[in-house]
Amino acid sequence: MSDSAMQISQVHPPRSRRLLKLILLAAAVVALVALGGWFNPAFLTPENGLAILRAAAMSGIVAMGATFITISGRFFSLALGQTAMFAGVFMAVLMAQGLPFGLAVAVMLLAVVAIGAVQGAIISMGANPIITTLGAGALLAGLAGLTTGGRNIAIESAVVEWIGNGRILGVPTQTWAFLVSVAVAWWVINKTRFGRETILIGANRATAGASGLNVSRITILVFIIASLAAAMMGVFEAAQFSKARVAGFGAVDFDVIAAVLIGGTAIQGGKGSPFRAALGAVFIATLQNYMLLLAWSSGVRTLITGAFIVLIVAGFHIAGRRKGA
Amino acid sequence: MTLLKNPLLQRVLLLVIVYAAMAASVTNFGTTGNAYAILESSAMLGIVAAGLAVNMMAGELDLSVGSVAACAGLVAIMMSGHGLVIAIIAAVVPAVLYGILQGYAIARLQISSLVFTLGTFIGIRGLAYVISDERTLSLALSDLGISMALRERMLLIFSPFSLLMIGVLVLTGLLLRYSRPGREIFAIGGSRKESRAAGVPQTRPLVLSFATSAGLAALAGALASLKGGSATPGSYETVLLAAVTAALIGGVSLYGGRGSMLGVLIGVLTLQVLLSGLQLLGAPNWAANLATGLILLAFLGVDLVNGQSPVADAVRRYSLRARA
Repeated sequence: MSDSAMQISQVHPPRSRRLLKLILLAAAVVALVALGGWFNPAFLTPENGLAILRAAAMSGIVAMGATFITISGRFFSLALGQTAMFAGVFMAVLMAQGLPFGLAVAVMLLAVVAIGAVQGAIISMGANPIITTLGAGALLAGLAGLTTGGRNIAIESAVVEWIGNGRILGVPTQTWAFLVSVAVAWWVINKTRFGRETILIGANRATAGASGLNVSRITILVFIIASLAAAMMGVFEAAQFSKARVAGFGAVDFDVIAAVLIGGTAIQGGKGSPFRAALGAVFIATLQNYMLLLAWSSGVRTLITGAFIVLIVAGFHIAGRRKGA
Repeated sequence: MTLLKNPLLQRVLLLVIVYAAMAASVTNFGTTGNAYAILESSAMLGIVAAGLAVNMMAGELDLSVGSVAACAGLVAIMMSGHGLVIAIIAAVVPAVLYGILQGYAIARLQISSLVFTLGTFIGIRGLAYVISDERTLSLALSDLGISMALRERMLLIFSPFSLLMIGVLVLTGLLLRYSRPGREIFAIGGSRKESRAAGVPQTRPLVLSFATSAGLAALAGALASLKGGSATPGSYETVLLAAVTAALIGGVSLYGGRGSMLGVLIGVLTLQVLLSGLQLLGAPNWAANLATGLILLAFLGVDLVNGQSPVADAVRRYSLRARA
């Protein structure tokens, strides 16, 4: 079988295998929860469960957007944490200027769309996605400093207060937003023409381009989607404390990347599922929460996250090559 | 006029312009004292950039250099009681071994180095927090002589640290140009497939390039921490960004097979002159981020047009057609 034909055929793995991956991942989450509860009763309380879901929601929402980047074959963005920070800060500054909440969000989202589009455009010209987003991230951190003078900005608004701490049917707003974005991402990837196109340019960019897909347009859209997801997280983060902070988004990109990879999204593109990435985010949040309850230091947690990524990347890579050979 | 088309000369010109602009707007910028300060603050960046540039020339990218530098800094401070040489060896040798392992894994798995080193970038940072127990480590008072010796001013504008940086750049430049392993690195960076067809070994140059990037990052981190007198596990987070930017300014291509160490030196100095100037102008610390990010994106554009990217191919085709 020719190289391209093989890759296209992998776009549709048998339903049973896809289901198996999902079940395996779900089993891992359940096992982790059971193990956690066994060793530490405080782990299994409903309050802690909601805390995990809220933490998972934050990186999970961003992971939904980041999945698009990875599926389209552009690896990752290292600017999503800074995009979230910039979005929160920019919205807070606009509201401090007296703009109502809706208008501030609209203006902020326009800026974020532009940020994503510019990165996507540079990358679609063939630039290295990791380095481009690294530069864009530094630029955004600088812009956030520029708009605030490096100070945290307080937000005084009942709506924002509710977005950050409100509960619907006893479940935090963040979690609802997470569920909705999982559904939307799943629908877009699996049921729309754009989703199919994203998978195809990830599976084989040259073939996709040759068969008439507009690779640049799709790449730009993919980065806009990821930036919007990051902005959503930024708004939630700022709303939770009614304050937009200009620091503290350093680990976001790491958690997001870990979630996407654990979800089994192929790093070379063309394969992946938002649903599994969401489960990946829950897994990471559970693991982080568990290690936190064990009073393990953030260093150990970071070390384990990094080791996880290396192992998973290498493991999937070897497994993928076996299958291909 | 043809002289102006020499890419290296263009970059020297850029450095002179940036320096002159800063000298015109900041008082006392053009003094030897300030030149010493700029060289001193370029030293760490220069050594990291030298290693990373070797990596880029091989067509790869080691994202973990900042984390490695932080770890090495901590180890060097811990071992400083045994003297400067032991401290540096203790910091650099494990890093070189790690680089060899990482390069070997990447070569054998034929995996994208961006993806693989992203994991080590995160993991090694965690390791830095673990070995330091999340504390800042400082040089013992009795060992402060090491710090003084590294920054001692000599030859008008130099210090042992900045002279070492220049030595590292010259040595790696010569090895790249005149040794067989150096040519192999260029060959696999220029074109993987053709170099393999021509019989160039693929694993050895990759291992060598990752050992160089990790080893030099460790050397830089160890020296900078010893000079500063303390090391924190969260330090050197921005050095990857700065080193890539400096290498790009210097004409090293992210597409591999292009660049020179002289260019890297010019790139490092240009970036540092600009950042020092901004600092002396009283710009807040986010301005450095803003400036570096902007410059990186701008030179990514330059690399897109000059390197082996699709855009460059399109430009070449177009200019050929225009000439015909």
